[in-house]
Amino acid sequence: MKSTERTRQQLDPIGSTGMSSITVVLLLLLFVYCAVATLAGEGHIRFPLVALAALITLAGGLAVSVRGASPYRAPFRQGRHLTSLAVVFASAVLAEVSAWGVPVLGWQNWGPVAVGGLLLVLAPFRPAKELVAAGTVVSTFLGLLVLIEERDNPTDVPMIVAILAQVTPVLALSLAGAAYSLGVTRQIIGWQQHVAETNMGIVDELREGIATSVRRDRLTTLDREVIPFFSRILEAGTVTDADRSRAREIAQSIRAIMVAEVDRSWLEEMIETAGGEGPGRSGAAAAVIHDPDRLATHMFVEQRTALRALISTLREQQGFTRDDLDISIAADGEVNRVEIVARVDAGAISRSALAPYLALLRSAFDDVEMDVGPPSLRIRFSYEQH
Amino acid sequence: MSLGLPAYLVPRSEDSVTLRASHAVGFTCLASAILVALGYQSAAPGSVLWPAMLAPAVAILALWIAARRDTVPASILALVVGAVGLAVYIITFSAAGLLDRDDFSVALPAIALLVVGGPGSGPLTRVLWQLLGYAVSQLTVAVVTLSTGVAQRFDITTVIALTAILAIQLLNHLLRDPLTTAQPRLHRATRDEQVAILRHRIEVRAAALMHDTVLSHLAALGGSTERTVDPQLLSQMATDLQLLRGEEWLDDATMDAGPSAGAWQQSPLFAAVAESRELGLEVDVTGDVAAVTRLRRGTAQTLALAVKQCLVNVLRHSGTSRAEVVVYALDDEVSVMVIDAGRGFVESDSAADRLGIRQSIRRRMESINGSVQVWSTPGRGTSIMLRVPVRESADAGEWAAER
Repeated sequence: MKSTERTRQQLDPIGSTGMSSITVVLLLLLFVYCAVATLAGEGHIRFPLVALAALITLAGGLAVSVRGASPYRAPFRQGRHLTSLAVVFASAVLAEVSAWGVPVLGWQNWGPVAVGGLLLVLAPFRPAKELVAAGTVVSTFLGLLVLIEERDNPTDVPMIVAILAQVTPVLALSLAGAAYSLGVTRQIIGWQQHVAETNMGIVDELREGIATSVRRDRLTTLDREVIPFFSRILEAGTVTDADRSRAREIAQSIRAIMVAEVDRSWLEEMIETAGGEGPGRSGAAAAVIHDPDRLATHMFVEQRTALRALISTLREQQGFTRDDLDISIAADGEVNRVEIVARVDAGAISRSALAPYLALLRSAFDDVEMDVGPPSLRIRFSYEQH
Repeated sequence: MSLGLPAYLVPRSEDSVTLRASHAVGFTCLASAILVALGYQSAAPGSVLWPAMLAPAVAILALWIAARRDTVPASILALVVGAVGLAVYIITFSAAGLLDRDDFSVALPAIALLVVGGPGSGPLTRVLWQLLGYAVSQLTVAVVTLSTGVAQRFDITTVIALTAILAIQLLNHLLRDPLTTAQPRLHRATRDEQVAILRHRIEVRAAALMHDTVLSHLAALGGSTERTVDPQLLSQMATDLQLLRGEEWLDDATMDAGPSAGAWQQSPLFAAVAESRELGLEVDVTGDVAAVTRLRRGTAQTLALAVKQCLVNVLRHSGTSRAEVVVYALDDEVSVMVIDAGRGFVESDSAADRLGIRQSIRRRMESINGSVQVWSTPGRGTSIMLRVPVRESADAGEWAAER
């Protein structure tokens, strides 16, 4: 499990699922703007083929981001961001070269807007610091480009103004992106802290009830054999051979129960006690989960929570029983591979309805794959052993 | 945790972060406007351009106040100051004969007016504030044109900026996530996980107690050779039966009570050693024994129970009646080592259904984020190191307690 970055998408994978469509439309609009600006600034262009190459390169750079923004490929990591940014930056350089020596200081100078626009649109996916750093570095290079160009072809606009025209859109838009990223991540983290505190309060309230239920379970076991046996020994103060073998028998049966309980993983416990199966229905977990090496125990809390949410969704479908779910966990070198096969109701669960859960799983696990073809759903993922 | 804001908080969150992002654009544009004026000033030292530097500086101040206060008067003030600043900017550049030298400079203070925004929630309110900003900028240009006769080219850059801002708002509104049950379900899963962790902790404690009491006595009875039961065992059985029937033995609240007060003699570890001595084991205690008083109450109790189980194992399996307990203290950790010179064992050779080390020691220590290391060689004795953090970190639950 990779560490979580301070991005909206990684802190809130479910809530960020819809951001992909907004991102796609905005990047498309950004491309349209750049294409229109190229056509409108035709008079300035000295090298039309370079201008065309700039637009094609831009399309390529934006396509990298469009692809990365899909919830099915979440999370959008730094490598993809920098690749996309580098290609869009290259398109901005080509655009500048296509009108080399001709001052274009207005809206038709699309290169800086393309770079800044990309950084703004990626705000839900990348941390504020990275957006600021990227904006600063790219604007510096774009400023240097103008410096070189101005030396070749001086104009009546002061060099500093020409540089500012290049730098300002990148900085303004990347800072806006950073402000968004920072603001939204702070709010999500604040909310998560609030939920954690509330959960602690709820858990505190349940503490006594849980302790009572555990105590009752234990006493039920003890009441059957141990307490009468101990009471008898205490009363008599002596032991016979029959008592000794009885003591060994009882010890063995209690030990067998305890070993089974100790070896039961959280996942088995969840299947046994949650939802429609009813508590104490032993055997349910064995029918559903194939985890001979108890690998479920190696999941982090985050991973367990994601899996809990997914399984509870599947279980809450109408008519869903334990026969409709099959979970296998097997070790493969350093990683554990999980496969979940479930029967799903075509009317109730579609690929898009599962997208939030897929994003959630992708934030917690590696190698997440999902095949939805109602009535069958197959999800595979892996996690490192620790 | 990967939990996002609930549906009812999302619009308010969107409003505030979008406004914050808009303000970042405004501050950058106004700062750039000052630098543009400086740039022209350096190219034409004779021109009087200082008003074009001062006006955006004042507008930055007004925008900052509007961003901090988030009230209607503060936003109106920022719009008025921004509009006056824009007028001053245009007039100053015009007077210096520098107006329309580029298509960029005058757009900067105008764009800053679009992003002032104001209080209120919902996309309509945000759009109205932006349209108001644009109207103020155009009105300012018209008033300057009418009153001074200074005409400038149509500012298409500001129109494009306005279109972009409106498009972002519209898309955010139209393509926002449909309400799904996923977020509340995840919310519930986080709570269920916490409850499961608590239940597991209590069960581990219950299992360990069962092991130390019931199983221990059954083993003693099963292995006894005398007809009369050892009175000490009888008294321990009577005490434990009472304990198991009572209400307190699983009282998890004690786990979270504050640091255990009192000196070494009042510590659970001292009591565990004393009980082991009563069973007939000679125990030497050395090291920084006072360090155990730095542990939280529940942690100290669990550690003491684990140490007691180690000592019981020495008595029962090692073939020696002497053991040494050494307490080590670091800033953030207390370690207790239990050493005997008995017959030793190979941990993996012990039967799969044996619970001693696994349940009573290992899992017990894991439940308080501690650890266990065993060094044992057949014929050469056993050393068991139990380590526990002094202060369990707040996010200790992030690490799965093995189960």
